[in-house]
Amino acid sequence: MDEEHKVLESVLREFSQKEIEPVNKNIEIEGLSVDLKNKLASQGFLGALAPLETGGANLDRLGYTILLREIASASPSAAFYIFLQNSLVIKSLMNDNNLEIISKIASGKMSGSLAYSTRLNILDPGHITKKENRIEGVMNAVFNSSGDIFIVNIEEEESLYLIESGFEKLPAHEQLGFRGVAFSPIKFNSEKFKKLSTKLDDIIDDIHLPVAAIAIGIANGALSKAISYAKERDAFLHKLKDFQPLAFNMSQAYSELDSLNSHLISVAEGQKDLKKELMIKTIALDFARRTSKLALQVHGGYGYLMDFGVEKFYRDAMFLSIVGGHSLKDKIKLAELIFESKAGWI
Amino acid sequence: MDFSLPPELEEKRKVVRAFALREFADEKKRYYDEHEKFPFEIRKKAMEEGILNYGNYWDLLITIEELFRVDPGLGFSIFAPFFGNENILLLGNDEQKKKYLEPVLRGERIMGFAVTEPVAGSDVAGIASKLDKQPDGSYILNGSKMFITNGTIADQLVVVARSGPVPSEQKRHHNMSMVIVETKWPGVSTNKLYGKMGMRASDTAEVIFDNVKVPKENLLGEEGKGFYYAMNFFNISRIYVAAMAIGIAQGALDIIVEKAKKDKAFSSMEGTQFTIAEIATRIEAARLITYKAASFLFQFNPDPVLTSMAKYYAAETGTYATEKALLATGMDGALTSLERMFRDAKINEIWEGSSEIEELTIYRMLMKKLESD
Repeated sequence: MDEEHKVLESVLREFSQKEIEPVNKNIEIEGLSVDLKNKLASQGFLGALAPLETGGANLDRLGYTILLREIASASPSAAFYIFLQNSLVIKSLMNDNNLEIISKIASGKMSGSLAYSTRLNILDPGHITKKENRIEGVMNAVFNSSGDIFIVNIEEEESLYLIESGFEKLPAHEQLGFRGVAFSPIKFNSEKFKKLSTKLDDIIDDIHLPVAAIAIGIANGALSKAISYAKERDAFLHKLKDFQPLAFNMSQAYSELDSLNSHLISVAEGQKDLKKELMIKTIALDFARRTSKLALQVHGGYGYLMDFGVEKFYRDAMFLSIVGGHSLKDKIKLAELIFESKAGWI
Repeated sequence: MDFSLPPELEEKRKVVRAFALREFADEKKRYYDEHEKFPFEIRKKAMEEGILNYGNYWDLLITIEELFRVDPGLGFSIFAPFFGNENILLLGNDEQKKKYLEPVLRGERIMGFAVTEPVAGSDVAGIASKLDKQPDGSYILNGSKMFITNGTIADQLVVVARSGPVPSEQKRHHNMSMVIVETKWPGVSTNKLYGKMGMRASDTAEVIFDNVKVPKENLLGEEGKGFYYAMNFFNISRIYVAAMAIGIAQGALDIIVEKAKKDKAFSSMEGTQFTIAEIATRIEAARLITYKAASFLFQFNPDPVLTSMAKYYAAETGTYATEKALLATGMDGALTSLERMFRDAKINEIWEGSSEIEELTIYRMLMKKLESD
């Protein structure tokens, strides 16, 4: 990693420590505050992928990967919010003349969401139709559902549309993870929309590396807490770290994390490579689930309490596995890339 | 060897399932989970309808499974008011049973068992709460207990505390005693613990004892044997924890099967089919170990190896099943009770002796058994 990215990493760690850790519990209970969103914006995180002329940070692949990983280590919800604004909204808007909206998102004056539930594993994702001058329907699983703008996909014509008004947030879902970000169905009935040239599948094809970065951040956050706790907590007249199963399992996880981190950086430094990105996402999600489970177990009953800040990693790792793409479709795609022909599908 | 359950237990299973499906409506599951409230009304209905038969251990085991299968948080809250009373049942004299056990069996009082301490989780021998014996034979209790189920709603607690000095590091488990403490007594205070990941309908609290006077009549069993009594209790409670975990795993299986029934594309995939097969196999294995361990326990001949195996494997199965079912059903599962079950399941690998403690127990007791063979 070059000097510039090392500095970014260091700045992000300091930011997380100073601005996120003190409000971490509130994020889980009340959602991301306006104050924190403003701080994320002022650092350029909400417009991480936005061009400089819009006030964005215009980060490269590696910078964006480091951003998501480091923020997720402290608050997966905050990282997911950054991901939504950048990987889903700004990227959808980028090809057309939407600089003003992108600028508002980058500055935190506006936030948006892409309703992508049709690309998740859900029987009834909802349906949106476009008839003459009106877009209407319901999308059932939308993140940042209290946002100011939404991007929806009209399946019949495979086109994305930007909707700036004419939507209603329906009662919120029970939310396993990313509780800092609102999540509910949205009912659309709008006459104010604009067609975008970006395709939903291109956006979804591009989320694997960012999702892997968040997953590795989650694993890192959980494992760091577990290691600290094992150094301090006494049981049976010894520190937890002195017991073989815990020490060995945590050392194994630490080794895996180190390797995965190096691999993440290497994939991010390279050019876009769907196969490599799918591979690292698959491994990272599995690792995040395993490691957050281990971290919770190390904390015992205390890990089960929100106050200790570990249980969120366990919930978020699982939720990311559900919302970070359609796992079955990902597996089929990966098998196809590995076998160089249709595979895993009769 | 007959693996089938008697018809009356199969019938009871159906009755409990019907009760749970009727009383644990989606909005109630969500309400009690979201607000971290104890479901007094549902508990009352369960008592009125005779759902909980504390006099029949097999009946209770099946009941726990079926309640947890529909909602672990509500299921636990219905069952747990009896928690700890096994100690009075086994060790109490006639007066103690009349005064403390019978009202709980009638559903009039709520019980709790206070063992765990802030700095001594699974390490029961590390208990620091003290019972200072007074000249009149009574005790003064000081100390604090953590993660106590029913802590703020219990009328009475069975408390394990140190009644004498620690003889040596190797004998830390000596000189502990078990007493019954009424929560209305002066010096008892409680703080409800909010923000649990799961089992949020159940009441969990920190309990503080500040110079609480405990009459000598409230000593359970013999003085100094509290640690052994607690271990004996865990031999019972771990079977019920295993049943809880099996219920959760079964509930997770129900949800994935439900999606498979509705979605032909989903059910036609081998990935789905293998997941269902794997979860179902593990549930069957967990249930068999649990029922075997229960059969020894219920004949008053507990096998600690089997008991710990049951708790360890069933708890892992509950977590495994909810995780695999969520991964397979994706957002559909996340928008059902499965997300709550996933949060609820994990505690079974932690309470009543963490999985690591179960593994240690399995090893130690197994070696003892093998060495004496």
